[in-house]
Amino acid sequence: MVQAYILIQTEVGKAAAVAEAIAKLDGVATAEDVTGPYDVIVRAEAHSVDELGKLVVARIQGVDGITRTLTCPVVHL
Amino acid sequence: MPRRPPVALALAALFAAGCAAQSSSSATSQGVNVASVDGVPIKALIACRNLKAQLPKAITPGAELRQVAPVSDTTAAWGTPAITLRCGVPEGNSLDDPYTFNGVRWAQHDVGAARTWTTVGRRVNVVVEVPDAYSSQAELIGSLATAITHSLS
Repeated sequence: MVQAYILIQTEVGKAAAVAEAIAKLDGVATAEDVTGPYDVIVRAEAHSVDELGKLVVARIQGVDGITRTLTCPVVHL
Repeated sequence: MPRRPPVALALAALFAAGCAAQSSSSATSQGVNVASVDGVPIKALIACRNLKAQLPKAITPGAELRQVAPVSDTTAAWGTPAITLRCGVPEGNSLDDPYTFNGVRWAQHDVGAARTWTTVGRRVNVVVEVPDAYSSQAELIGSLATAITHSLS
């Protein structure tokens, strides 16, 4: 399995709604609205990097109110 | 004198035309100044020429194709303020995840009062600069997908 943290910026005032919508998606373990340079942080997992990419591009980026995403795959050094 | 094969002649003529266009410095009074892309390989130049032939006449309602100066196969522009396109540029790169509009992936950057959108993952790439005066940039960029997928591998 591949895990990643996905850092999300949203339109003003939409962080809570975005987090709630993303939390319902398959492959998303947690989705919480936060303060700081990003508005929502998601932990997601998938069987492969390609599948993770599809989750981010096809489904998370399609949630209304998202302006940009940054995906940080988890590595164990 | 040896005869050159027709394909080679055609490519040579195209290459010469491309070079001539790129080195032109004459700007028309109505042309939008868009820096042409130098050193584009011949195959990419052909792809850019094909792209230019398939670009939408209006990228969004009210923003029609305009003349560019210098005249070039690698550049295009629409509307006022001008939305500009340059073909044959390096692939887009961004820390952010690429955006996908109608199957084309783009890296986006803020540059002053505009945003640049550069294609990702193609052998020939384009960069489109859209002034912040235009809203709905995603729809605007998405309208280029057909031309890009048909002409740029």
